[in-house]
Amino acid sequence: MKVAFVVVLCLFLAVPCLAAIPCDTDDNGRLSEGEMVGAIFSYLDVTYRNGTGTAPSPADLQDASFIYHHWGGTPGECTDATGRTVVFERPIRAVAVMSPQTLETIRAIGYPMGYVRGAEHSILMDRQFFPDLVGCRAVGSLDEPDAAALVSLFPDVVFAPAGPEGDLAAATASALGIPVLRFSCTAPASIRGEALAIGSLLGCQDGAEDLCRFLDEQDEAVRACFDDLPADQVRAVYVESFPAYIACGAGTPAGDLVLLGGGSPVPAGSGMIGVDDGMVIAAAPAVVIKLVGEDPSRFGGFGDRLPLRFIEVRNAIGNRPGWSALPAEREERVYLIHASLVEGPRYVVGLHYSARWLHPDRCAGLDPAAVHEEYLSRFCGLSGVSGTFVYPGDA
Amino acid sequence: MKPGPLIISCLLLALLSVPVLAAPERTVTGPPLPGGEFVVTLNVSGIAVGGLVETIPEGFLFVSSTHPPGRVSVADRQISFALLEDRKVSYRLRAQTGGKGVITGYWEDFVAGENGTVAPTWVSPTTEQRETAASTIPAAAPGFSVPGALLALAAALFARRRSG
Repeated sequence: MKVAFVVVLCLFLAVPCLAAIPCDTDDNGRLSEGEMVGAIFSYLDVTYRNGTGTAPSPADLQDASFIYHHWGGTPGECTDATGRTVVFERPIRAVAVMSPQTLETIRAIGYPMGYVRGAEHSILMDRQFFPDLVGCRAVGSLDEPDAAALVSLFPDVVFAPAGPEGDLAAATASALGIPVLRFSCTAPASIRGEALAIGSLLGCQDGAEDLCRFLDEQDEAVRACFDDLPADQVRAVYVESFPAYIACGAGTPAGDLVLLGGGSPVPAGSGMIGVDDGMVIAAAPAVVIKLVGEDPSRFGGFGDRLPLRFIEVRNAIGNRPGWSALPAEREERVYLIHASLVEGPRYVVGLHYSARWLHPDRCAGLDPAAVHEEYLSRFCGLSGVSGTFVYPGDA
Repeated sequence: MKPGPLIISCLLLALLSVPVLAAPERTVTGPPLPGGEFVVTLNVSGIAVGGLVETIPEGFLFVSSTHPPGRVSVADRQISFALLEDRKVSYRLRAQTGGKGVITGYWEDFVAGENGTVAPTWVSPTTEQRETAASTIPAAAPGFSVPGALLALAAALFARRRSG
């Protein structure tokens, strides 16, 4: 009953957010140059010339200027990763984000973190990577979104993952009348388009283009190593997800990373593939890459300086029945990598690592740690942070 | 003459002379004669959507502006400009006999939510061509990095002495 009352109250209070474009005096849904100029002069007259006429409030004028500058004077339209278009008539100045990769992308394109009012609770646990989420509240998890928290914040938009894992959070926000955009920002193939779409909506076009340029440059640096790679030198790679015996095939972020890095995921197939010892042994991978960072392999990343769990998991892989005979085991080419370097804008760091692991002779010039450091400095405003992201190897 | 130090000094000069913030800067050019006209130019390239209010001293008349007509408003000694993706604003003043004083200005960047004052500029019938950055009147708003520019100038002179 209480929650219902709060919902109704918030919906009532939310009406101004749904108001028409500010300073659109003829109310035709488009802010013309004449309307913008009229609003500016009214404001200047009252503020600096002791004018007595009516003038837009500073907040309305700021919103109108944003709409005129970033959206061309029309409502902001954003088509999300599911193809759904949502229209906004005011700039987005309060968001709730339900996935770390989307929040990382939003920060990387230059959106002020002060506008992030709510975040999925595991994001808030990662204070080392997101130290600037001041005053940001937890809004539950993907499995258990906190409707009461969302209602109390009532953000302009909730960003939920595009996949099925984001359905519940999206449905919860939609039921409360909060606009929802579905973006994942995880896969190398789609992250540029997602960053540009989000950037256009949030007024961060320049930042989004800068991020895309950086990703392109890093992709190209790796691609240049494989210009003349013969087909018989493409490495068979078993990429394992967080749980044991789940392979990442083509179309998954990790599988695509291997493809970009001069390898081919085995066993062949797309998406997540359940495997057993026999299937892996039959595939005879030259390299094994294991993902960590999420349940049931939740360790590593920022702040994790001791690779004890990495060593533990690495040894467990070698002890699986029959795996000691794998080429990857015989040549000690089993690697662990944290998911943050595979999914999201930092996939380029993971790409540099995997390219070096798969083709050390061709990719000796790649420096994944330096790419990571540059990304953290340029796009996250972070420096001097430490952690364990890969094993064996540098961080 | 070795070009290295000179080029480095020029680069240093260019780097250090970059405005600290995107506050508009005013430049006054024109014949310094009574009854003559001055051209006042403000660099507003850092403002996407904003406003500018210039107040001219007594003894000066607003003559014209190259700004689009619908985006200039003149009342008494105040000239207002609506800024929409403009790089610069120029207007022409005519000095009457005995006219002298200071041009002051306010600017607003509505997208960034910032505002401030334009550094005041002294004008009189004996005013010589100069830029606001070199004015002896203290700047009321962030503008050129004067210490930086002086440092760069010293570096350029040092390089010239060495190469000469």
